[in-house]
Amino acid sequence: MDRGGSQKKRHKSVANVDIISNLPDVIKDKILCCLPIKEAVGTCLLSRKWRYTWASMTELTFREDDFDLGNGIEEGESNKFVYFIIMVLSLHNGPILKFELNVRRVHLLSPGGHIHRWMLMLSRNGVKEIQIRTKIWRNYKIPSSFFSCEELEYACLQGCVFQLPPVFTGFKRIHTLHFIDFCATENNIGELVASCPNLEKLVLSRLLSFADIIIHSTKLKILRVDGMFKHLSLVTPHVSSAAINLQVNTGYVPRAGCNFNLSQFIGSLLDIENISLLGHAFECAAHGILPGKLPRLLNRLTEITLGIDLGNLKEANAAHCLFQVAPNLRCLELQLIYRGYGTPTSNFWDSIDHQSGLFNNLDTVVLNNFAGSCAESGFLKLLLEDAPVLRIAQIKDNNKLDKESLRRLLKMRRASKDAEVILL
Amino acid sequence: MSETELAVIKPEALKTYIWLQCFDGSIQQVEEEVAMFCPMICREIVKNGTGSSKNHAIALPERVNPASLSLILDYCRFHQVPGRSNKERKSFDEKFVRIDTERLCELTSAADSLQLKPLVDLTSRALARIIEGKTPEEIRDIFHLPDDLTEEEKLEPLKNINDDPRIRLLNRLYAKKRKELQERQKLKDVQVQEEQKDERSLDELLCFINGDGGSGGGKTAKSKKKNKRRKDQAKNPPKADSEPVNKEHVTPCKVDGGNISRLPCQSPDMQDDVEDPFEDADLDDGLDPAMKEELDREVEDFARRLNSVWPERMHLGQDRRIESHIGGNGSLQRFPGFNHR
Repeated sequence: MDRGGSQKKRHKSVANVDIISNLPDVIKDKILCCLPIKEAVGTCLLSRKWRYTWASMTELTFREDDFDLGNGIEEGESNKFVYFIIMVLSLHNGPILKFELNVRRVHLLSPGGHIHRWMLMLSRNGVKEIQIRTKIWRNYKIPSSFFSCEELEYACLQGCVFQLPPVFTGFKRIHTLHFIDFCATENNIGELVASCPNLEKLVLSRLLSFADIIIHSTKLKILRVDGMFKHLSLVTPHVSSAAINLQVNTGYVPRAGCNFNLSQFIGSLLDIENISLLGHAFECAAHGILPGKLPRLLNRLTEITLGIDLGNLKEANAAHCLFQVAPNLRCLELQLIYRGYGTPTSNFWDSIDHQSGLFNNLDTVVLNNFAGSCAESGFLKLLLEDAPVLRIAQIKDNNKLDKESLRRLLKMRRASKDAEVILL
Repeated sequence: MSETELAVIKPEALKTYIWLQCFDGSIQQVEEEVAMFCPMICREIVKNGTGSSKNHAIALPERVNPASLSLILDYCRFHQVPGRSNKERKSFDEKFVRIDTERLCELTSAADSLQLKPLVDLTSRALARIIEGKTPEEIRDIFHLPDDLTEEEKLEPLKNINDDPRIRLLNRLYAKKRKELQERQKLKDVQVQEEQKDERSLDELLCFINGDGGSGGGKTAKSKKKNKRRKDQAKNPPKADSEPVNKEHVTPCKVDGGNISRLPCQSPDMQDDVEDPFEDADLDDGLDPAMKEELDREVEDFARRLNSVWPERMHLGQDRRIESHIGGNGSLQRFPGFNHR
């Protein structure tokens, strides 16, 4: 490729100075880290000054997709990918701060696979960020040397299982932990979190839990959990943003066996600013909350998102509790669900004292999947009559509202003269 | 630009100014809030209290030339204003780095020396985008990089040992020789011998009939043609390539080529003589190992010559040409035999 022009194109002008080669190493590193790794390594062909510049790159990102030559996966292509990584790692010189691996096949990660050697090398190189992603749903065991990466600040692991080594001193510097497709059979995630004193962000995406997960953390600020679960207990006083989206793992445990200890969670919160409880999270948690049980006001809480069956007494009650401790609530979004069981209630929301100032600061409310049932209408009525500064009430009914409900809706009195009801 | 100049002129009474001095000695006055956007300048002001007057101007690092400084100040002026949307900032950034490559490099370097991290990130990314997807040739052209690596050095880091073209070439050469050897061994069987005999008898016959002159000349012409082709084969490649370095390598071949063309030309009978011992050798099994040894030596010798001028010569595309040399050399194999005699 480069021979084509080499004979004729070579025009050397004295005035044109090679500036880029004389840039500080930090900048050259930055430039290389912005390039796809193949091209970054390819800069060794440019000139003598660039020959080994790539070898001290601080960020290495390997994606198997970039090595896909044809369609389908052939042995040879994967080997090319592996050879390339081995070549880069063996010639690499200096710290590797970020290592990202995106593989399509698990064999690299399986016991005795290359990942074990690579991880060992990384752990000796002061790695700060590790990302391992795989598109195949098959768990692999994270190499134990992962736990000796003492400088680790960020980790994103997909499809892995792990076992804490007996002598694990913890990740002192880690601030973000992200597990995707994580399968929990014991509370090792809780133990891991407990040994990360500076962890600020924990994300568990597509969690599949067969165990009781108990997470205690005093530093955690952002918490995201979604997936199937059996038992979840969270004590995270300084979380400011929490999103919990749980599905019941009905194939494994009966619905009744699932439990999310919401009252303990809410009770532990001090600094929460926005909270989102979707899926079955609220349902499974509802029976834990009783009126008057929540110890303190959550003054910073301004946004609540709930997946809720307003007609279910327990859930309605729990929601009411939550609204009571959130005096500064500004945005409320409800995903209305009809779960079709439980104690139905038609007049719970009608019975609430309208002078309680439940929605004193509410600015925006969004009701999704509004069906116009008694409970839902009752809630909306309460909300409109009790929210003095409401600006927007957005109602998505999926064209299910009949004329009668609509008429009732339009008749509702509004405490806020600026309130705009938008029907989508 | 005019906007910013206006801003400089209008609220003069309200704003404080900072004096900055470039390495070339030029001094300029900048709004403090703009200058403070650069951590390096900010530190100078806060820590050392410099920059408040023309006599105490802040000396900027060497890497900040006036042109880069004015770009950097534009950047700071835009971004120090609070309340701009991300979209606005992004589109400003995008336009901001649309400058020629040389200035972009200078700007990157200057921003780095002023520790203006967001701008360093922005310009580094822009430089990476320029490099991305281009061949080494193109990149060298854009950034005026010297093409000072040897071809071997270029191949070294990326290919594994099996891929070493030298070894590949030698192996191919060796395989070819072996094949020829095998073929010749087949030829030693009756068939060819008979043909050869026939040819000789025809020669003799012709000589007999026409005397030395006429048809003997015809035969010479024929073999000359044949030889000419060989000669061309040997000569053409060096003609085709323009780099003088290559000639160094080619010359020994050419000398050999000269041998080829000259020796058999002397007389057709001679050629027959040349072929004769060879056939004897082929017939004689005992001579086979010697042949092989010779082959080995030849390959070795070729490899040595190959190595001596290797780096300059080893263009990927030359593989084929070198092969054609080998083809030419292939016909040489008789001549060592001849020389032995």
